[in-house]
Amino acid sequence: MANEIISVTGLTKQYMKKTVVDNVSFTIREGMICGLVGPNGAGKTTIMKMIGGLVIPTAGELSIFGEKSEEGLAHSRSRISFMIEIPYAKKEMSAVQNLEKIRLQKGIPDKGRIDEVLKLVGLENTGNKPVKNFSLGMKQRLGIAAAMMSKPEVMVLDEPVNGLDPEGIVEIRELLLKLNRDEHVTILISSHILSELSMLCTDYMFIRNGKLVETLSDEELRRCCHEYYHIHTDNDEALPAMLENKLGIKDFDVEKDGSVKLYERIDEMRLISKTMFENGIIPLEIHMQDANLEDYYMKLVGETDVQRDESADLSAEKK
Amino acid sequence: MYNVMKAQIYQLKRSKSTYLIIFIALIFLIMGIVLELGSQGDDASASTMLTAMAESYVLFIPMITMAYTASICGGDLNDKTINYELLTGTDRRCVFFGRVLVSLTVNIIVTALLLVVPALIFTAFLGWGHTMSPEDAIMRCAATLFPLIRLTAFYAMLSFLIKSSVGVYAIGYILTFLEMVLMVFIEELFSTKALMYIMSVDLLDRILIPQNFRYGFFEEQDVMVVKDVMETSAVLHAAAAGIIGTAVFLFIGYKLFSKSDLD
Repeated sequence: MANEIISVTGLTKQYMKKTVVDNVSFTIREGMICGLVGPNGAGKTTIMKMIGGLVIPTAGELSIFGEKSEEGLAHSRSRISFMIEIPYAKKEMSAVQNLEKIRLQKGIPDKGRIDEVLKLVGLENTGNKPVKNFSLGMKQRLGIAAAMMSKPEVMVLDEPVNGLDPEGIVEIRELLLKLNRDEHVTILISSHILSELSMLCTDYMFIRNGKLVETLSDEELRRCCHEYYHIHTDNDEALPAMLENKLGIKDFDVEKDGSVKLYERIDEMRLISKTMFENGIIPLEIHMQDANLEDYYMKLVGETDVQRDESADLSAEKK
Repeated sequence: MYNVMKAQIYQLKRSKSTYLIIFIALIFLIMGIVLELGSQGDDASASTMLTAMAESYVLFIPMITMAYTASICGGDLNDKTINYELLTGTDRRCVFFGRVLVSLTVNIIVTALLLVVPALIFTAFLGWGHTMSPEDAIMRCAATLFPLIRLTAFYAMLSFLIKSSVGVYAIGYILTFLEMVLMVFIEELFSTKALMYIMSVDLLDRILIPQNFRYGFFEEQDVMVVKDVMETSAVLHAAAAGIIGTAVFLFIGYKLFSKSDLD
């Protein structure tokens, strides 16, 4: 098994009484490209900030390269490059000046590294243009360039392709894959562009309301993204009740337009169709689909909400 | 810490605010000089000018110290570029004290320039004069270091607490004027050295502004002469007040920063 790079156990962050990150535990191993997936406000950035030492955890343990002490963690962080939220850059300074400041601060002796990373991210022709005149995409590229200044062993990237054009997204994805493949850089990356992550990651962590709801490898995720039937009828409102009451099916989602995504007993479509007719529900459209990452994620989140509601009900009943 | 300081100095050299602060300070200084030259007339000399301008310096120095310290310590907190240093594994202690040291260096250089350059120019054109001895002037300028360190530590603490340079400017101005008003009231009621341990502006005031004058007769003219030459005990009190204040402010500032979340 590959070496542990980052390991968190019971990581929790509370602001006042609000729990933003709730008892999260995971391990990032050498060579992984791990995707941290979750909606806005799920706690992805806070987790990354706790790893980076910007936010102090309320509870839990953090270990980076086996170091747990405050001093050891600070030393270990020098082996990681972070890009969290907006890329941190002085707006009145140019890309070269910002990177020169980082070079001085990190004590990197090679001045030529600035030109190398600027070329890698396609910002070599920005000259003296101040960062305040950069587009969002250019700022993202500068953030990635800054993260690459010290030839890191690990990269922690928070939504790195935000604001990039499709061409830029492909370039950054290829760059990250190349760094992982050729230089064995371990990557922790968060994004809400799930299809983008699915082309990059070896592992996924799904987070919702500060809680880690699922951890899967790429292979496991693909297995989980099973087939489903998409059913649209002349009486969509009656369909969910019929599925539950007449067939005992519970694993389905009702879409906004009233149509149903059916995950359970999909090899019994003949019986399901017959039951629909018997109950006066005429199918207008039935087709089989493969669930993609987004569908699986939405399903996962939905289930989690139901589970949370159920457990909240149970605890209320107990009281 | 050395790398943090190098990066800060690099940034400072390229920041417009660095030059803007000194430019504004120079404008006010030149206005003060012109007004004083007008009121002194033919009696003007370097020592009379410096003595007369001491009150302006008591106002100037805290403002300049505040502006540079807020810009160096608070500016990076404003735009979150300070986060980058922590993310690259720089210890919070180095991030904090690196900035404090750069602020202090800049404040010492700028204050020294504002005190020494006009003195040299006045001496070259008007002669030193007899109002204050050069030794006393040098002693007072050197002792200015103590309130300067204390003020730097105070504004650094405020910057790391408020995390905004604009906020520090606003609170700094209010506090400086409050201190000045309170200082006048309290000194009217009690003549106590304890005040310099509480208020940095009072400490600066006691060092730079001579309190008592007498008349002397030089070159067939009556000349106002500073009576209370700065004594060793006064310098020691200033040093104690400066060092104690600095230690307290830096301790509080670092404790706040070491436990705060940088969102």
